[in-house]
Amino acid sequence: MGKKRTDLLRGTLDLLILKALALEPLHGVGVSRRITQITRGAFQVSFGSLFPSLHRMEEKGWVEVEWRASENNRRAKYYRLTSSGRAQLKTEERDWSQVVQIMTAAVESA
Amino acid sequence: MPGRIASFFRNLLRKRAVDQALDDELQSAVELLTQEKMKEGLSHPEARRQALIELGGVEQVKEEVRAIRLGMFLDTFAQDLRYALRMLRKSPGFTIVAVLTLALGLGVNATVFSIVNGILFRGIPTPVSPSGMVSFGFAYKGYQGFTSSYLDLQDMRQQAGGLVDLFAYEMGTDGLTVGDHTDRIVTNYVTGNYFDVLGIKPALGRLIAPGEGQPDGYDPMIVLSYSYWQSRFGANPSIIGTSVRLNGKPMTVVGVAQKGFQGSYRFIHAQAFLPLNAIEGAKYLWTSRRVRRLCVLGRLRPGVPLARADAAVKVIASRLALEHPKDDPDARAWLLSAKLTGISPTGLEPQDVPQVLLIYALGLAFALLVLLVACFTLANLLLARATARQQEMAVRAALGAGTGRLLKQALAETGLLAGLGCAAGLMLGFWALRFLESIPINVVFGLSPDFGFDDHVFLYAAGAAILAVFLAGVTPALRASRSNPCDALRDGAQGVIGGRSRFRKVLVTAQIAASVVLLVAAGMAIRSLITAKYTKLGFNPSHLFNITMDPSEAGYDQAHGTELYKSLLPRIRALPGVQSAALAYTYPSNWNFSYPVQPENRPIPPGQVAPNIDMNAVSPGYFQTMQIPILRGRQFLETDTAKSTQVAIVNEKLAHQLWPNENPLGKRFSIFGPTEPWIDVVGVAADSTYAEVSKTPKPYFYLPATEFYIPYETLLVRTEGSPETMIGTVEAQVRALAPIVPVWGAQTMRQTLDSSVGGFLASRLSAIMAVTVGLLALALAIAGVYGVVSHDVGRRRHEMGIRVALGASSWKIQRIIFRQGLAILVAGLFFGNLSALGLAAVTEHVLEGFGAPEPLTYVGVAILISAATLVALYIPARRAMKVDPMVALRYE
Repeated sequence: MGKKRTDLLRGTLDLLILKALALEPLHGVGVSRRITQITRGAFQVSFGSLFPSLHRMEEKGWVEVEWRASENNRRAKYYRLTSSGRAQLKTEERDWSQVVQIMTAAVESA
Repeated sequence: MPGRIASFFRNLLRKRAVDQALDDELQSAVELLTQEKMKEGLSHPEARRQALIELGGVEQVKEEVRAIRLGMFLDTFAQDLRYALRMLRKSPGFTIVAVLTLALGLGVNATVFSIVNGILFRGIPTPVSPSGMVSFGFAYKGYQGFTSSYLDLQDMRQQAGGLVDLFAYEMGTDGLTVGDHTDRIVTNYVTGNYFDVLGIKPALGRLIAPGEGQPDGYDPMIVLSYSYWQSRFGANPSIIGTSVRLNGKPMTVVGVAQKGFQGSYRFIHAQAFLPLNAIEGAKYLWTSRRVRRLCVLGRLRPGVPLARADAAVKVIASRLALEHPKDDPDARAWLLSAKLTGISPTGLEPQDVPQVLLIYALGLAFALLVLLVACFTLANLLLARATARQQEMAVRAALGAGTGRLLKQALAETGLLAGLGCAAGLMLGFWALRFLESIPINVVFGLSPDFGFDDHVFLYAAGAAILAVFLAGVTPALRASRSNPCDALRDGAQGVIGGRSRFRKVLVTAQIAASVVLLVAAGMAIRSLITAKYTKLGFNPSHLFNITMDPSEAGYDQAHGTELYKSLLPRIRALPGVQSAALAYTYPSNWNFSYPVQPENRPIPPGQVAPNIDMNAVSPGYFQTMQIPILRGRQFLETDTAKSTQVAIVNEKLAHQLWPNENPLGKRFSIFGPTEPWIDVVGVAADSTYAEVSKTPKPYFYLPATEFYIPYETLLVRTEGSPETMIGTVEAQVRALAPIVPVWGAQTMRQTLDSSVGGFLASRLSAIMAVTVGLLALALAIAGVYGVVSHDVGRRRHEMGIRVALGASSWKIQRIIFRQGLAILVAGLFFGNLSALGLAAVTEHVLEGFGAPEPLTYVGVAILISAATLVALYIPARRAMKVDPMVALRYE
C-alpha cells in the first residue's frame, strides 16, 4: 500500500495516535487526552481530525475496535493496536527519527 | 485481514448499521467530555455545551469519517481491479479462452432465459401496471378451448363483479381499406370496459367507452394502435373523425390508443380495436350460450385475493351448469394470474400450469448444464493458472499478504473475467435471439416475437455470472491461498496444487458427463426431426406452392367472392408451367375446422356426443394438385354446386370408423345433428396428414368448396418446374383480377411446412438449438480433457524423463498418459449416460414421447465423445513420448 506521505502533519498525527494506543486500548476522547499528556500539552488534537484518522486506521487494520464500559461505567468504543499496527508504529517511529535527524542536520548546517 | 473483508461488506451492505455505530461512538464521546467538564465544576448544561464545542460539530465529524471510509474502500477496489486487469493482459491466451468459455455458457443462458422470460414472466403487455390482471377460463364437457359465451360472461360479471372486473374481446383478422389498398390487420372486438380495465389512455381522440359495444346497438367506430397509426397513416392527426372501410363497411376512426399498447397478446400485435357490436353477422353471439367466441380477462378489485375471486367464479360456473344443463354441461371456470398465462392470455387450464412450468424448467436446466460445463472448463483453466502462479502467490504470502487478501485478489480477477464474459455472453445471446426472431413462423395471426432483454434477463445473466465465478473461482483461489508458501518455494517448479490434481480430474469427468447428456438430447432432437421429415405425408409437397386471400376483407359479398374464384382458377390453370391448381379452405400443417359427424341411421347412444371430425372445403382439382389418390368413387366436379345434392369425400380412416367393413359410397352423414341436410359420400381419399403433419392420419372429410362458400381460400398450384419462379406470376394474376383483395402467405409448400407449428417448425427449432448447445458442450469438454492431461504431462516431465532414462519404451510412456485420460472418459461416459437416461425418462413423460429409449443415439454419442477425447489425448501423449531424458533431468 504505497500511501503518499507528503502531509507531514497527518503523518505526525498518525504517529501520535499509534503511540497513544501503544500502552493500552483507549476510546476516542482517551486518545485525545493521552496525546495532550504525552506532548505535555503542546498538541490539542481536534476531534474533527482524530475520528477520521481512527476510522482510517481501523480500515487499514492497524487498530481493532471493541465496545466496553469506560472508567466511569459508560459504554464507549475502544481502539486497540493490532500486530500490524505495532509494526506500523515501529516504521513511523523510524521514519520520524530519520526526518528529525535530516532536518536537524540541515538546520544546524547553516 | 478477514476484518477488511468484513468491513467491505459493512460499508456496502450495512451502511445504516455503520452509521448507527458512528452515532453511538460520538454520543459516548460527548458524554465522556461532559462528565470530564462537570468534574471541573461546570453545571451539566454548560458542560455539555462545552463538550459539543470541543467536539467541533457532530455532523461534521460524521461526514469526514464517512468520506474516509468510502475513499478507502474505493482505493482498494480500484487497486485490485487494476492489478487484475494487468494480470489478464499479461496472459491474453488464457484471458480469451476464459472469456469465450464464459461467454458461451452465459450466452446460451441469456438466450434460453430471454425466451422463457418473454413467454412466461411478462404477463399482459400493457404500458400500465399489470398488477391484479387475471385470465378467465371457461370449459365444459366435450369442448377444448377456454373462451366464453356472451350470456355466460354477463352472468359472471353480474355475480362476481364485486371481486373481479371482467372484460372480453374477440380477436380477428380484417381488411382495412383506405383508397384502393387493403391491409390485412389484426383486430380486437372489445367490450366497452376493455380500455378502462386495462388502464389504457388515448394518445389521440378517444377510446371505446363502457357504454359502447352493447348487444342492441351498432357502433361503427375504430380505434387504431399507435404503431399502426404511425406506419399506415404517417402519424397524421387529422385521421380522427374520418371514415375507413373495414371488410368493406365504413367505420369512423375515433382515436389512437396509448403508445406501446398492442392488445393483450405478447407476440401478436393488434392494429385496431372495435366495439364488440361491430362484429359482422353476430346475431347468435348475443343470444346463444353455445356461441363461445370471447376471450375473457379481468382485473381483481383492489384488495381481493386471487383465491377468493377464483373460488367465487367456480361456484358461479357450477350454478350455470345446473341452470343450463344443455348449453353448459359440466361447466367449469377459473381465474389464473395473467403473469402465468404467457403469450396466450386465455389458453391455459390450471392443471396444465405445472406441466408448462416443467417444460420451461427443463429448458433452463439444459442451459444451466451448459453453464456448468463452462464453469468446469473455467475452473480447470484457473487451476492450471494457479499452479503456474504458485510461486508468485507464495512470494506474496511470504511477504505478508494474508489469506483474505489473496482470496480477494483472486476473486477480483475472476470477477473481472465474469464481467467480460457476461458482456460477451449477452452479446451472443442478443445475436442468437435476433436469429431466432427472424425464423419465419406461419400462423393465422402474424407473429411479432420479441425476446428483448429486460431487467429480468440482466439480473439472471448477472446472477449466472456470479454463480459461475463462484463455482469456478473459489476453489482455485482457496487452494492457492491455503497452500503453504514454504513448500511452494522449496519445491520450485513442481506444483503443490498440481500434485493434487484429482479434483481437476473430477471436474473433467463431470464435464464429459454433462456433454453426454447434452449430446444425447441433441441426438434425440435430430432423430425426431428426421422421423418427422420422413413421415409419410400422404401428399406431395414438391413443386407445390400456396397463396391465401380473403375477398370478404375487401368487402366482397358471397356473389362477388364466388365470381372471383370462378374466374381465377381457369386463369391460373391456363398459365404456362402450371400443372394443376385448386382452391381449398385449408392445407396440411394449417389449422382445421371440425364438425360433429353423425352417420344416417346410426343414432348416437344417449350420453354420448357425435365425434368432431376435421374437414376441408376444396375445389375440383384439389386431389390432383396435392397428389392424394382417390381410392374409390370420384373426385369433386364443377357440377357439385349448392344447387345439387350435397356430396362429400371421406378418407379411409373416417370410412372405416363410420362404416366398418361396408362400402362407404352412397352412405350419408350430417354435420348439423341427426337431421337434414344429409351429405352423400361420393368418394374415398387415401389417408394423408392434416393439421399436424408429423402425426398419424386422423379421420377426415372434404366438402366441395363450390357448395360450401368460405371467403377465405388458399390457392394451391402444382408447377412443372421449380415453384419459386411461378409464385410471382401467379400472385400478379390474382392482383390483376382483384387489386383491392388482400393476398398473403405466398410460399412453397416446403417453406410452409418448415415454418408451421403443424409442420416441422418445432422439430427444426429444437434440433438447431440442441445441436448447437451439444456441440458447444463437447468442445468445452474436449478442451477440458486436453487441458488437464497436457498440464499433467508438463508437470510430470521429470518423471517421464526418469522413466525413459530407466528404459521405458515410448510406447509405455504413451500408455501411461492414455490410461489416465481413458479413466476420465469411461467415468464420464458412465455418469453421463446414467443422467441422460434419468432425464430422458422425465422428458418422455413431459414432452410427448421425446426421450423414448433410442440405443443408437446413446451409442453414437459415446463413439463421438470417445473419438474426440482420444484426439485430445493424442497430442499430449505424443509430447510425453518425445521427452528427452537428458533435458528433463537437467531441468531440475
